Amino acid sequence: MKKRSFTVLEVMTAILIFLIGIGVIAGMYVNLVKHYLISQNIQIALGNVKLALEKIWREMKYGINFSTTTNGLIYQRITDCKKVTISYEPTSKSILYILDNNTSTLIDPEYFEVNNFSVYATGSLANSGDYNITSFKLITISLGGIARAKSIDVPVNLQISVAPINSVFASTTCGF
Amino acid sequence: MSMQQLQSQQQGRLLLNRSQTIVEIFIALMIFSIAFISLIVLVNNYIKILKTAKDRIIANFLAQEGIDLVIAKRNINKAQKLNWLDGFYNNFCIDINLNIIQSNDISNCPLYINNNQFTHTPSSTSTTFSRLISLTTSTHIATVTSMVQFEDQTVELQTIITDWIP
Repeated sequence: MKKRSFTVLEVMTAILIFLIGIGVIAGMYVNLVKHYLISQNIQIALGNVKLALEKIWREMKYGINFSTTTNGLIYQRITDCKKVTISYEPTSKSILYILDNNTSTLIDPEYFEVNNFSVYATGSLANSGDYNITSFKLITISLGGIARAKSIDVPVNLQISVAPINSVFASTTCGF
Repeated sequence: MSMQQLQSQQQGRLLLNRSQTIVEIFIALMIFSIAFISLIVLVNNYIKILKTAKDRIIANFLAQEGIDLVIAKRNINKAQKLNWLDGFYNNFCIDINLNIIQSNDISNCPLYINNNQFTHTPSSTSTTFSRLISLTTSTHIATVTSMVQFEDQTVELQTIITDWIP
């Protein structure tokens, strides 16, 4: 039997099919890796917000002398009696943490852009009684924003509520 | 070298240089496909887990909120010299307005977003989250269970509250 070699046309067709196949597979793989990286970025962004909210929650749980402001709230830390201001900056879409006069960014807009921030406080008693009447019994912080990951933005709404322990004490070490 | 030896050597070379059969190519393609599909499934699952993680973070905060809402209500009851469990039921929904609605089924306690806040007040912005609080009481102690359900998952937190202020 006579063995003939491949013609140029056959080789070209084979290479073309191979390249199309490789192109499709490579495209799928690149897409997959892209989504994987985006998911990871979102995870990092959410992790940062989670840490920030947990920090606020912990401090507020043991905090005293709460008051609300236009863009946030003020309280005193029980550990060192220092004044803390949590403030929303609508221009930079970030949340600031101001301890006495030192300002730091609590939620960085590079990772999580805060579009809505509200503080809801309730349970402050007007009548005098056995318990601390100056503190709120419940403080709720709600924030809505966008977790940033390259071209994909994931909208997220988060909310924490705190019933401060010291809201029912008559006095504390900070003199309240 | 004889003519016969040369012929058999050439036949051997031809055997070595033979091309793959269709079965061999098929098996090779199958192995490659399995490996590639496994990779896609693996990464896809990971992406799904990361997406669920977002909802889980929200659910955890909502479950913790449920417990703090009960504590706040208990504190207000104490401050107003009411019974410490005044207004509570065994199973109920409660939101940041501290309005309590009796319910035994978590599906009756869906959470909506009203003015950027999670509440039970129906609004056009519904969420996948529902929250039910259960209270098991004895004389001066109560166990609070806050359960948040989303899609097919549940987050449950539990704490103990007392008749006295800790």
